[in-house]
Amino acid sequence: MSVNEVAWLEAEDTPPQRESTWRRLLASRSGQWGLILTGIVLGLALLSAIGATPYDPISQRPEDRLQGPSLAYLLGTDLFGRDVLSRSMAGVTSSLQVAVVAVFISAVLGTFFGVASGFYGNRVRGPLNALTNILFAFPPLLLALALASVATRNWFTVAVAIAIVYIPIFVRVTRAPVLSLRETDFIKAARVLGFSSNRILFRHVLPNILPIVIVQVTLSMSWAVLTAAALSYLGLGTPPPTPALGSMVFEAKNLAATAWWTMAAPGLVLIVFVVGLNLLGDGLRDALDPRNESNA
Amino acid sequence: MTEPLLQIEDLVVTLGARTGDHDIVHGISLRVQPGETLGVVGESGSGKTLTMLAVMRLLSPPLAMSRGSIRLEGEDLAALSESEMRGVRGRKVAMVYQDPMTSLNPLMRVGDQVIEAMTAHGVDDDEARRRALETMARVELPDPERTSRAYPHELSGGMRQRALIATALANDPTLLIADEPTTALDVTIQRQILALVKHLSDEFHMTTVWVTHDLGVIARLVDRVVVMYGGYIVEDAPVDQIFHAPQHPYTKRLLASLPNPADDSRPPLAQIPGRPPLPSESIEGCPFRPRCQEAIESCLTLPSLEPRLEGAVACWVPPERWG
Repeated sequence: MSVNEVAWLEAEDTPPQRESTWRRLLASRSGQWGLILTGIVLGLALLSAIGATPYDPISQRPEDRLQGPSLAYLLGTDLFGRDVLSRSMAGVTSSLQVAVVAVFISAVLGTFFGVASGFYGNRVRGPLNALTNILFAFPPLLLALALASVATRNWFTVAVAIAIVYIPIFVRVTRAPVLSLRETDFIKAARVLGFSSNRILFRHVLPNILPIVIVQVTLSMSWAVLTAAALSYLGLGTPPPTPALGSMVFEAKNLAATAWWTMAAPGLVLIVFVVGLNLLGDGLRDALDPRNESNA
Repeated sequence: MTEPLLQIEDLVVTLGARTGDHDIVHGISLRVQPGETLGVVGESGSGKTLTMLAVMRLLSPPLAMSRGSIRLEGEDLAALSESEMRGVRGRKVAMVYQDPMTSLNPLMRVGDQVIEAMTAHGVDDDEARRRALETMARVELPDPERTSRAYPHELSGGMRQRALIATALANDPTLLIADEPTTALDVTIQRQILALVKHLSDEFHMTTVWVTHDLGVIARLVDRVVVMYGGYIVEDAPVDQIFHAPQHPYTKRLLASLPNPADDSRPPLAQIPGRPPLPSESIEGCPFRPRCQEAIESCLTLPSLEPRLEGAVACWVPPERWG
């Protein structure tokens, strides 16, 4: 039979080209809002990182203490005359630093353990399962508290504490799809073609679970930001005078009746960021899920 | 007689279970000569696919090869290390799978998958790239340049099966095992794929083993047919003899169950009453005895595969005594 004949016979049932993940993310409501909200907060953090805050977030101006929002101080000043907007921007940066490092550590280690326990049979699975279950049994905040109080108190200790708590989540989330991937025809076909286990793992299994990891990273970021804020609220986070969203809320809690802006600003930034990350996670999950192809 | 390309001796495949081990393939022996096209026919559960997986050494627990030997070009496959065995899979022995819809990695371009089949066996990138396009042209994929950049979901079932065949043929294997490569395809595409594989194995002198449950599929493709039932080979004969003078009652019933719209004298879809034995069942004597209309007293003893006419058959009752 000729090539033309084949093309004619098979052209009809060629499925249409799939939309790109990015397009589908932009097309979904939660994807749009997620991008906008996280974009705003990340923009603030970026400005503060390059030193473009309206005022120095640390230097005190006692003559300007507890000013309400005005043109000079857009979000007012706190008890020590520090600009609340500048401090919130710097606070986001330090919270973000903790969250990014924490999620990076837990995503890399968690995915590694999850994939290993899913891909290599029972020998690795037993011990890894036990370890994961032990870590999983700790309330996240408690383990982070314990670690943060035992080790030297700086932002990295906090990040490590949060990372340890989130490792089991990545182990669980990646192990299950690897278990089912292992039994799929294309992984079996790869064995039939004489591919080594390492090649199958890195070239065929990992890329196929990457979407799941990406979504989990986004969602874990929002939890990590909250946990970091909770720890700094309890006085175990980034040490002063570096501003952190949690400690700013803590300092403002006695002023809430008289100087509401001192609490509203960091609280609002925190809420916007966490809601944004969650929406982005939802949007990504839908955009990356091939089953949602038609209703994007 | 030349040395067989593939020689299976007394192969036993065992299913390990807590309640005890069950043999699923009961000591079968099989030779495939170089250049020969062999059909292995049997119902689901007859052990045909397991036999082929044993050849690839891809049985995984609870399944294991518990006895016998498999030789490829005289070399005992059981003696090879795992990395030597990887050199056999995909290079000397290739396998085409049942389901083309799911046998390609959905995240890799089709061309890259054909290329990887070669680079994994040490072919350098440029050479693999060039040969991939050649191979894709050989399997009659339209416009190989363009198709190689497509993802599997952009191709139809028939094109995916061609792409899959391209990955299998990339390294010019000496033995191709085609395990029901057309069951997932519709009939017109099915015929094209069958014709393609036949054409390729003739042109490149590739020894081919067709594994199928459908005698009709392989009638015009193979030189010899091995009929399996319940983990035994019950008949092994040239294709003409299988179709015109079946020596085993099971072969005869299989042939009778082929739909033939032209023949009004038969029911449209004849079937063999009963069901194949479960791995856990032990049947005394011949495995087909409970479903066999010709069964006699001596069938309570297991018949061995004995030469008869041009082939061999494992049955106590010759056709002239069938009712």
